[in-house]
Parts: sequence; C-alpha cells; structure tokens
Amino acid sequence: MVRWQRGLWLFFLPSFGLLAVVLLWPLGYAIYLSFFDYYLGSDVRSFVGLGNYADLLTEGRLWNSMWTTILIAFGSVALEFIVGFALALALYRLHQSAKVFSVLLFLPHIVTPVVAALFLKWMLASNWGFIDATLLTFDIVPPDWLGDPIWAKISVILADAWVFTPLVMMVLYAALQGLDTSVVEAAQIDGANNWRVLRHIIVPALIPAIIFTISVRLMDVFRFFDIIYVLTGGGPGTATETITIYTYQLGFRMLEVGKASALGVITLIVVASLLLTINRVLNSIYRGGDQ
Amino acid sequence: MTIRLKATTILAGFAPAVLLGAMATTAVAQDAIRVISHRQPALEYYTNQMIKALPEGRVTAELMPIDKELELASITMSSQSDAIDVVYLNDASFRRFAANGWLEPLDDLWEKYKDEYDLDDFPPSVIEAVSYDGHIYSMPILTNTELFFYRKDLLEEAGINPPATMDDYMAAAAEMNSPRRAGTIMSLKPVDAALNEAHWYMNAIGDGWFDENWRPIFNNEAGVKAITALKEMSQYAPRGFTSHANDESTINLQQGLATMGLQWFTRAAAMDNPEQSRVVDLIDWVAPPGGGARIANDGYAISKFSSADREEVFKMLAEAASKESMLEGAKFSMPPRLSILENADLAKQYRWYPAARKALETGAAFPAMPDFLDVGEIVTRHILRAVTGEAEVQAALDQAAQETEELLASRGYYEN
Amino acid sequence: MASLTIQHATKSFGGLEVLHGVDIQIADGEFVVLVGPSGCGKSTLLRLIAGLEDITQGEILIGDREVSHLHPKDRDIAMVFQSYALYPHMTVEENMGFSLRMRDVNLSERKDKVRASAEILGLTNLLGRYPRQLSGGQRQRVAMGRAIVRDPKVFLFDEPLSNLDAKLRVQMRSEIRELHKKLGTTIVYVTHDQIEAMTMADTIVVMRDGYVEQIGSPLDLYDRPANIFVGSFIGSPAMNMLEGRIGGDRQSFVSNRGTQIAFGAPVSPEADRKVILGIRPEDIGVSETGTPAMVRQVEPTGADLHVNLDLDGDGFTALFHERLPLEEGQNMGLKVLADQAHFFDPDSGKRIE
Repeated sequence: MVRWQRGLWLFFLPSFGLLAVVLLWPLGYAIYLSFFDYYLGSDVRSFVGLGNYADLLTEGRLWNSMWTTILIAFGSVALEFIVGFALALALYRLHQSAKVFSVLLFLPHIVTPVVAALFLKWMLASNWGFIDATLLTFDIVPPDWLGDPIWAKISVILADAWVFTPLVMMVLYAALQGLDTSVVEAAQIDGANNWRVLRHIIVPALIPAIIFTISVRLMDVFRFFDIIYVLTGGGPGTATETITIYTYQLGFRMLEVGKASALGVITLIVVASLLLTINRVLNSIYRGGDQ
Repeated sequence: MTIRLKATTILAGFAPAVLLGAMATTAVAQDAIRVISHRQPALEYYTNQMIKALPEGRVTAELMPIDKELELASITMSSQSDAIDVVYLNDASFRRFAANGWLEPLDDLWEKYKDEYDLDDFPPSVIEAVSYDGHIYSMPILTNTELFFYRKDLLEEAGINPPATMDDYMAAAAEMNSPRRAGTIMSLKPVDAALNEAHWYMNAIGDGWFDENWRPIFNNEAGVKAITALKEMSQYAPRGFTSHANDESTINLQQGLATMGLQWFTRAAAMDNPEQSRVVDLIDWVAPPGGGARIANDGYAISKFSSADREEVFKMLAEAASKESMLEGAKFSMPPRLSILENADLAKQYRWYPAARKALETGAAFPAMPDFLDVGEIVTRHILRAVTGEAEVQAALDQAAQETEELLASRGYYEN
Repeated sequence: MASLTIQHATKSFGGLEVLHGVDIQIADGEFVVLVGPSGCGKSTLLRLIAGLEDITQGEILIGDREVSHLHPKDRDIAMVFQSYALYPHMTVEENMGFSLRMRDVNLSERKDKVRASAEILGLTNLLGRYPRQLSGGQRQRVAMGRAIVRDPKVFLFDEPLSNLDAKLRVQMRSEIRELHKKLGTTIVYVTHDQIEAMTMADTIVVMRDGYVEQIGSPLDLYDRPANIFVGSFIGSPAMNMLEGRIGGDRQSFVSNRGTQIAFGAPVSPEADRKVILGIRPEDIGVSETGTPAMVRQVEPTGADLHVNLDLDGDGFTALFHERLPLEEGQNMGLKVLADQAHFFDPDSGKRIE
C-alpha cells in the first residue's frame, strides 16, 4: 500500500488532463450537441431534446446502415478469425526456417489502412484495375467489383480481412506458443486425430485469446471507416453505407451536426452493449467450471 | 515528499512556449493567397492565369474534384477559418454559400474596377447568376453546358444518325454496346456527377425536380419513367459507372472505351489532345437529345473570413477573367463575355461550338435554391439504389421525395 | 500386456544423432526403468516407443506387432507425463474418459470403466473436480487413472514424480509398485533419480549420451557395475574412484599418490596392472592397522554417519551405520575387503573381472 501524500494527486494531472481534452470533452460536447438541431451552414442551434434520436430511429436509412454494418462486421470478423486461426496453426507447425513467412504475412497490417485501401482500389478498379485488366486479357468479363451492390459488400469485407487477418494471426500464434505441448501429446496418445485435438484441446486452451480477438475486432469493425470511404465511399447508392459512413455524410456533407452527434452516441451505445454481450456469452460457454 | 512547483520553474516553462506560439502565428499571417478549385482543363488554365496575375509566390492554387473541394470549403468556412481565400463555386453551390453568409460582397470593387477590366462585357444574365439577394459575390469565369459527345466514325460505320431524341440515344447505345467498348458513358458518382446525369433525364423525360412551391415532383409518373430509362441505359454503361465522375467518363471516351454520352463542353478540347487521346478528330458533338441538360455558370468567390487584402485578390480575379485571358480560354470553356461569344472565328476554330450554341438554347440550369446540393445528396443516393437494383424505382424516388421534403422543411422553405 | 522389443533404435535430429543403435528386450509384465543423467536420451527413447517422435532407424515391436512408424493412438500404449498433462477444462471423470470417447465408446460404458479405474486409485470422490482444484499427488493419480482406463499393452512413465515433494515421492513410489503388482502390465519408466530406479525396477537400463551402458537387475548393477560410469552413477553416496595399480603381491593397491591399501586376500587383476579402484562408501571398515586417512568433515544424518576423508590428497567418502566418535582433523585407519573392491580398466573404463 502506498502511503497517501498530499502531492501525489499532481501525478494524475498530465494523463488525466490529456484524457479529458482528447476524450472526455469531445464526448461530452457530442452528447450535448445531439440534443440540438444544428445546421452548420446557418450556424443556428435550436434545442430539440430527443428529437434527433427519434428521427434517426424511425428512419429507413439508419436501419439500412445498421443492417449493412452488421453484415459487413460479422462477415469480416468471421473471415479474419477463420483464416487467421488457420494461419496461426500453420505457423505453429512450421519448422524454424519457414517462419520468415510470418514477416511477409504481417505486411498488410503494417501499412496504413488508407494506403492499403488505395492499393486495393487500384487492384479492383473496373477496366483498368489490375484484376480487371488481367481477366480481360483472358477474355473473361469480370463483375463490377466496387459498383455492384453485392460485390461491393464482398470487396469491402475482403479488404478489411486483408488488412486485419495478420493481427488475428499474430495474437492467436502468440497464444499457441503458451500451449503445453504435453497436453496435446497426451490427447494424441488418447486417440485424438488432428481435428479432435483442435476442437477439444487447442480451442478451449485458447479461449481467452479468442475472446479478446473477436471482441476487439468486432468493436473495431463496427467503427470501420477509412477502408470503406476510400474503396466505395459508401456506395453504390447505400450498398456499403455503414453507420460511420452515414454519420460522416450527416456531419460533413450535409452539415447536420446535431443529428450526426446523435448518431455517434447511438453507435457508442450499440458497440458497448455488443461487446458486453459477446464477452458474457463466450465466457459462460467455455468457462463453465470457473467459480 | 510533496511537490513544490516553484514559480520560477513555471515561468521558465512558459517562456519558450510563448515564443514558439508567436513564431507560428507570424509564419501563418504573412502568406500567399490560397485558391481552391474544382479540377478540369478550363480551370487549370484559369487558376494558372491567377497565379500569373500577381508576383511569383503570392498565389497558391489547389485543384481537386468538386465534391472534395466543396466539402473542404464547407468545413473551413463553417468554422470561420481564414485558411482559404478564394473558392470556386458553380451556380448550385454558390447560392448555398452566399445564403450562409460565407462570401464577401464585391459590389464596391466591381464599381471601382468596371472600366479598367471592362466588367460591363458580362451579360446581365451572367451577373444575375453570380449575385444573391441583390449583391455580386463571385467573379464569373465560365459558362459551361453539357454536350452530347459521339464517335462519328463508329456511328457512320453502323449507319446510325446522331441521336435527336432519348429513344434514339437508347437504341444507338444498345447497338454500339460490346464487352470491350461500352455503348455509352455514364457518370453516376454522387453527388455532382450523378446529379448532372439525372438532371438531364429528369428534364428530357420527366417533369423536372420541383413545383413552384418547392415541393418535390420527381417521383411522379414522368419522373419514374425518367429514372427507369436511366436504369435501362446503365446496362450499356462501362463497368464501374457508379463511381465515374467527369474525369473517368472523359478518359473512357478518350481511350475508346465508350462510344457516346453526356459530358461537359469543357472536356471537348481534351478529345483532340494527342498526348492523352486515342480518338483525335474522331469525336463529334450535338446538343443533348431531348434537351434539358445542365447549363452552369461558374465563378470564383472570396471567403468572408479571408485575411488577405480583398482589393488585391479582386484584381487577381479580374486579371484572370480579362478579355485577353478569356480569348485564349475560349478553347476550354465558353467565356461569359459578350465580345467573345459573338466572335465568329471561334465557331470555325473549335468544332464543338455550334453544338454548344444549340445546347445553350435547349438546356436548363439547376433549380435556383441554395440547398439543391444537399437535396442532391439525398436524391443521388436513392437514384443509385434504384439503378443498381437495390430498390424499386418508384419506392426509391418516393423515399427520396419524403426525405427531401423533410430537409427543405427544416431549412424553412415551406413557412409562409 | 505384452513384451516390448527395441532393435537397434537410432534417432537423429537433423544432422545430430542422439540415440545410437539401442537394443533392449523387455519381457511381458516387466517393470523397466530407464535411468541416466540429463541428455542421455532416455526421454527420447521413451517418446520413440510412444510414437511422439519418428524413429530414424531400427524397429520397435510391441508383442509381435511392429509399431515403429505407427501413430501413437494405434500403438495401444498409455503415457503419464512429468507435468501430468491433464486437460484443464475437463473434470477428472472427463479426463479419464477422454480416450474412450475418442474411440466412440458410449456414455454408460465409459462411466463404468472410469469408475472402476478411479476406485483402484482412490479417486472416486474426486471425479467431479477440475485439475486446478487438485493437489499435485491427486493430479498424478488422475494422470495414472487416465492411462489405466485404456487398458493398454504398455505403460510409459516420463519422470512422473519429479514435480512432487520428497515425502509424496516416497509414497507415490510404493503406490506405483502396488499398481504394477495389481495390473501386471509392462511398464517403461524414465527417471534421473537412481534411488527411484533401484527401489522400483525389475530391470534397470542405464543410459549415457545415447548409448546403453548396462542392463540388469538393481542388485546386479549395484554389485557388478559394468563400467566406471555405472559404478559411480548407481549407489548414493557415489562410489569412490582411485587411480593407481595393483601391488606386486596382488593383494594390495597403490594409488598414484602413493597411498597403499591392503586387501588381505588376492584380487582378480594381475600384479602391477594399472587399474582404477572403486570402493563404495558403505563398504569401508575401520581398522587401526588400515590405510591412514584424515577426517575432513563429519555429517551425521541421524541414521548414518557420512565422513569426508583425505587420503594423501585424494578425496574419499565413507558411510558408517554407527555413531563413531570422529572429529575433524583426526586420523583414522581404513579397511577394505577384497571382494568389495571393484576394478576398472583406466583406458576403456570397463570392469575387470
């Protein structure tokens, strides 16, 4: 126990001050603004109480964006998790010399997301993008990767997975390192084949890491912005318009700052409750024996 | 151990901070005049003229696609920052910025320099287009009109006449469409490009956007017919058309990836540019079939929050818009000066002028409301949903109309 | 239950050969202990038998079946690990029943078999617990229970008692012996502790650096170690070794430092032969006319007396079972009997018969 002394609270000030400025104040201001009808062009604020929230929650466009967000979020995380886990297992079994691959596999994640998105846009651009040009030389007519509503969603999911799978891979790989190999060997002797070892031994042992990864990625992908913005801008139409893109439209294009703030608050609540639910569910399934 | 903050320590920390702050602010204050603009060949020319009008280093110009430029201007001016001095505005955006009180009125300077720069050479309709609420806010720089571009060699070969109606256009596009070369270009990137394309269909086939009381009528029977036609036409458009704006469509024509379509007068010269185009001398022009394509009057305005010397800036703009400058600029865009428009030699020199003259007669500007671009945000998204098949045309337009009414109501359009 | 035959087993990791052609024959129901210092290859050999490592050359047969390249689960063996390797998220009952589950044995049959094995080990009232709720000894028993349930042909133990405290170790040693008596299954047991080896084994295999040094019963190894290594490895405190040669009369030994030790009877090596003399500390007697030695340290353990002696510069350890009144610095006389002396060839290290 540290003996409390008068001057000690001063040590809190720098970090708390920074947090307050960067986090608490903007958050507070956003919540405050969400109760106003505030069009930035005319700079006129009028108090509407929960009017913005009511408007948003009864709006078709909001629910559409919510649905798109859920679709992209779960699609993305599922893909990154499965591929990342498979890669982690593969790396785990590889011999020393082949582990140099892990560096290469990690490259998409090191690049800034916006740069990665621009790169992917060049790959996917119609007619003169890398993929289209290649397919056309073989006389295969490719679909409109970024312009067809369904393909645009798939492209966005793949783009996010491309950038973040290495992260999932690394976290799970690190967790695998901590695995007691003799438990795996005992299972092998007991008659488990590779698939059963995975299901009964490895996955239960990795649960904390898995929960962590899924939670963090879901939380992040719900607030997904840069990649979608660069790739499709939320288009075509509203096919890839997630909550964040819609918030951006409201705030920076239509300059309806009050409504945008309200949407921001709604997003915060949604993500927070999602996180808590997932945590609770996964924990109860796998930590059943815990006191 | 308690911490005693000595007064001297605090002061010692403060002094360098203050010094740095002072240096930073002085660095910001002295600087060049900052111009931001949409990017297209004519504007590249005119911003260059602005840079040349003043001593070297006094002017910097940044060109970017119009949606980005307007976004940047909106954000900067809404926070009343002096980061931008001069901004390019077309008739649609101009009204909104003036209504917001973001632009500097130019009446006094206009009077002062009327003779020196022959400002009476601008016809009244043009001055009207750059005025709001009785004050002049912008220096007119070009009149632009949408033209119908087409590959005369390909149409001749197929025995098709240049289309005069929308039905002709649809038939021709269908006939000329192939996997390697699309039947027609289509620029459906929100907001500006999509709005232009839709505006044409809405006027040529539909009944227009609003009635006299600003109530949306674009979701009526004719409007649905118009957008349905747009949707049908899109099957002859190049892949990726939902993100094509003027740049991409121009390239499509230049590279021979599409046969015909609607594009701006200001892009005509680019077709014959041997350094960029594969179709030099192969493109010809008519007025857009069915009429109703967009006419625009563009100019450059001074930000109300600019910290530059407004007289200096005005003179820079007037130089760029001078008779000599516009004579040369006639290649890229139609100069709004009477003396030049009536110049017969130009019609002979530039092949697209005749079509442009005709288009000026049959075309239509955007509805004269400050909020049309915001309406465009709503409408273009829904039109795209209809075109890509995400929603039925009627349903999408109905939803767009509903959201538009809500928006305009909140902006005070229906209060009498 | 089955015999286990290891023929010329060789194992290399990359370019490094760690087991060099090991031959061991184990009879059905035998309790064999593989013992040796760290790095001698005993664990590697055990893992080869289990199938957790691939054998580079040679064969392994369980009963009549060659299993050299079979997957562990097809060899019909069971293994108890040093770290117990219990499945942390399963109860004791689930741990023990896991192997049966992998063979798709139905639930009721599983329960019966698990209960039966649990009774043998006294685990019946722990079946619902999780490994983290058990003590070290209980966990070890569960690990054994898991192995028993499979009713395998061979049990393999990999240093199972190393993680337990001394008292528990002694108790578990006898429990394992009991288990062996009850079940009669062939056991291969790896340890680095020679006391465990001596007390538990029917047959001991002493290994060093990938070679088998000697195979024999515990007392065999104790009485007639095949070479210097086995001689100093088996028995605690370790055998004393002195370099020197047999005296001219063939009844004595002269160390290189000139110390003379008389045996009172002829010994097997010829006179004047260079030898290394090995004497166990417990085989040393006290005699006033014996070889003089100085007492350096006296360590009473209560039951015994360990005495560190100085023999003309050579260190020497003696173990007495009575409490002699010795003090540091005191001189005393040592006596060694001829048939308690071990002789080894200095060059080859081998025992001289």
